[in-house]
Amino acid sequence: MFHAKRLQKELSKIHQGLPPAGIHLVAANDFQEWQMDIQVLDENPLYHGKTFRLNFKFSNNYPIEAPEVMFIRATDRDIPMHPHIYSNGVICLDLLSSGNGWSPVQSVESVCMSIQSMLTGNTKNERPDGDDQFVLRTNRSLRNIRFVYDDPTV
Amino acid sequence: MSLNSVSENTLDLGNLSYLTEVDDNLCCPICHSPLVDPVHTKCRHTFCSSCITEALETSKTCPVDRKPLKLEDVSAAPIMIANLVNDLVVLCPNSEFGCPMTCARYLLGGHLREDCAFVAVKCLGCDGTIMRRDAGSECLHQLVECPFCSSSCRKIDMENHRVECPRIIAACNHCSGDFTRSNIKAHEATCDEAIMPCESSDVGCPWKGARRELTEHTRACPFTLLRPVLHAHAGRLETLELENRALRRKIDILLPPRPPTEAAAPFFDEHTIQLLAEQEHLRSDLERLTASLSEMEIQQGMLLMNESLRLKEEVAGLRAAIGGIRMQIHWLMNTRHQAVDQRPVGGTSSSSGPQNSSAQGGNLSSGGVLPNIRRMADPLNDRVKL
Repeated sequence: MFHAKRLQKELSKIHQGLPPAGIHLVAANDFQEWQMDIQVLDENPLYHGKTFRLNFKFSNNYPIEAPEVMFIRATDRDIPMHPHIYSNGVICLDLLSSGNGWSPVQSVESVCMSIQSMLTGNTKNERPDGDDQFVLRTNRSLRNIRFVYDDPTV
Repeated sequence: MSLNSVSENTLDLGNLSYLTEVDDNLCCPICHSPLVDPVHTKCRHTFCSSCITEALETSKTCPVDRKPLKLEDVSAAPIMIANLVNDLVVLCPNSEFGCPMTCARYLLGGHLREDCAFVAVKCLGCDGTIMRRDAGSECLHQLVECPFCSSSCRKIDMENHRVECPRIIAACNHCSGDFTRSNIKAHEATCDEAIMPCESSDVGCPWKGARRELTEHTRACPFTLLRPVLHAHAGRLETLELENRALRRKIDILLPPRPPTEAAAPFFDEHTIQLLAEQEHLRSDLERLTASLSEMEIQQGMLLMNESLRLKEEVAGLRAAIGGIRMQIHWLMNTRHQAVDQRPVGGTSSSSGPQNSSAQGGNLSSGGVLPNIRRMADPLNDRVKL
């Protein structure tokens, strides 16, 4: 029940305090899966005026283990164009890998802010290399995907 | 008598409710709860002992700054931090069952072990467990028979059973008769003492009283007597209202939209608008004029000041020139006096008139001294002409 307690605390913090601008809780019906909406706040023409939806999946080991975070499609919500975001919503970000990137001091809010700033800094209107093949072959769990983090600029 | 709680080791300090909001600085960055058994790392970050142990099993880095970290680098935090979190006031974990206890966190173990009335303790009479507040000298798990319904239940559940036992005798709220609980509903519908409203309360009778007085009241109640009349009126009113509504709709359909009033309104509006526009125009004109007036005032003031300055300067020049002339006259007078003194004939009968003419005469005709005078007078004359 460790993860439930921690998520309960994060939830009450989101409910009582104002979450950072551009980050909204959409649904948190249980302690397994949450949805958050994020917006890019500056004038970046790639994302200006658009909102994107993130899906968080928590294991019972959260926050020791990283949550599975990916973009999902919904009405009015698309997958943002980014050289590290595949068109099926999978995000290639070392923060989200349970190896050395994730740290248990991260929270849903801080992950949202990291992804928000990852979008803010981007100027390339493109998908990662081999997006088509990746999307075709990715029907296994996110956890098994091994990314190579080779771009320190993001 | 000390009844030790059965589940002594289940106190989970990480799962407590705190009386007041706890400062974030006293919370573990991993579990976001107030620190339990605080430890700190060699990079000087503080965590719950269990949280950092678990985190280090997954990744050998400090969760906050990601520096390499081993379990050996983690040691107990300063006692002050431990005291701070141990002094936080918590609610008893049994508060949901009704325990009102709040105390400093470090006292909670003692409270649960010794005092809390809502802790399960071993039953004295059998192997079962029982809440401390119910524990007494006898076992409450033995079966007893309900004196009313003759079903048997555990003694500890008897209290709950009494609330719902259908055969239990209860007193009627109105009369003093006793009835079993299953019959009391039926009795209340007929009880002579039950308080009920007058039959005509729907038309406004405020009377309320025991059922046995009802017939007497009904006989005398003016509302009941008028009841048929009032009902007839209400019926008529309703039909009239319906009819009125229908007629109104008919009128709306038949009547054309009313043009005269609609025409008058725009005419009036147009007129007003025109007036308003004109007023606006005039106001802007006025503003413009006021502005130019004040501008002109300023200009005038400047001009006046310039002019007066110039005049002042001129006056000063003139004064200087007059001074010069006075000196000249003075000098001329002196020379003249000397000349008169040298000539015995001149006499002392000189006045201001002859002085002037003699000065002019001197200017025109005198020899050796004259160039000097000229030179003195010339620059003065120039200044005057300015």
